[in-house]
Amino acid sequence: MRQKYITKILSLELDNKLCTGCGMCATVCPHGVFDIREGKAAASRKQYCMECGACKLNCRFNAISVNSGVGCGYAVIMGAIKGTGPDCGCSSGCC
Amino acid sequence: MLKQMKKDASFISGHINTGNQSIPIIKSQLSPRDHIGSIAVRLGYSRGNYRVKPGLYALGKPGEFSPVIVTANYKLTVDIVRRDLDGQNLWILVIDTAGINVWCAAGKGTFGSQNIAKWILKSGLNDIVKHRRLILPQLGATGVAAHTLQKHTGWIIQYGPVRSRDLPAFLKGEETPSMRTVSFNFFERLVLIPVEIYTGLKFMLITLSATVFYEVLLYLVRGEFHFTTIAPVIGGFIAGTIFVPLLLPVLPSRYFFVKGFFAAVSLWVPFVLILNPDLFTAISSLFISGSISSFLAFNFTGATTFTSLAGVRYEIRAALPFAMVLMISGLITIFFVRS
Repeated sequence: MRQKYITKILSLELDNKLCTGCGMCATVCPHGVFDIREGKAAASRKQYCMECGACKLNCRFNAISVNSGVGCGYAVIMGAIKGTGPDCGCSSGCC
Repeated sequence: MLKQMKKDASFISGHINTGNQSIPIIKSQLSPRDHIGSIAVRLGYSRGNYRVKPGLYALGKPGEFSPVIVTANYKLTVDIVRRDLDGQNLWILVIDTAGINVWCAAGKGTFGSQNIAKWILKSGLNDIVKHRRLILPQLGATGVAAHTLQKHTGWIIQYGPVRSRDLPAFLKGEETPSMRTVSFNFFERLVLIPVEIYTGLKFMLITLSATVFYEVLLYLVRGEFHFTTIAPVIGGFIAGTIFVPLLLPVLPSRYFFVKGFFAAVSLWVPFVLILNPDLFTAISSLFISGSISSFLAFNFTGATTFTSLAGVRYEIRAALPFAMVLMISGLITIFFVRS
């Protein structure tokens, strides 16, 4: 069973003009979000996006923007307390 | 650390001499000691210091045209990779991620372009093989820009499958969508439970001592001892660390804090039916166990493979007030429990 998380406010955006349809985003996405249709990438299954940022980092045409980070409640709480971004920051411990 | 490095020798079966280098050969069979080590870290023991010496290793009898795969120096990762590659002849470049697995290290940046470039140079890989094709685990892509790494090192970067067990098929040229997708099935959730309990234990002990303190205060006020908070605290902990991972897909709602509350309910209902407590005890135990389980479930987002930062930020605004209000209501309700 494929599990979905809260999809309302996902930050993934694809710039169709910059996209060349090389397919790199579809290769690296661990949730199969992208399809390549008629020479362009499409985020057909955006609802499964976990904002890991692999697609953005590996898009050499800068066609993808996503506010990437860890989807970890503990990291978000610790980040808020320490005043840093949401980072696990643990060399040991969690992940 | 030094002791850990010495232990490494147990999975080395010999050395290959190429040019002026001596490359250790890594075994593809796991020993009882490897299995014990795996079980220990799965239980949470010494997880931060379970590492392999980074560098280049040979698996089987690789030559100058054999594939090169890259992985992290978490020993659990290296063990799975070498076991899955039994029968292959290839090179394994283990880069120093401070003993963190590929996906998490990619998120932190240690499994990143710079570090991989550094280990390509350091390992002498350029002189050992005649080709220039490097196979990275797909989940490393969160920390690596393939085109940048390629430009700086001259190596052609290729992303292999998510799981190393698909590598033999991938090396034969097969590629399926399932090889490129992460899962979070029952077994994958099951193995997380010990670490959830281990990391949650401190939180439970703090909560337990706080509630015991509260019970003592209540005793001073009313002159009656009940300990009505102890069972729901332990119950909420069990629900949050065991029921949440196990029942995750069937627990209602996409919000983890709601899932956590329902996990507590599923434990609370049989208890109420069997023990038949008075109304205030029943209500307070639901509130307290629900609050703890809800908070633990919200924290469990970090252990899953599919939650996003935006989603966590969205749910936190409801999750924390919910857990807090529930806890306070539970503690107030206890005040009305009478024997």
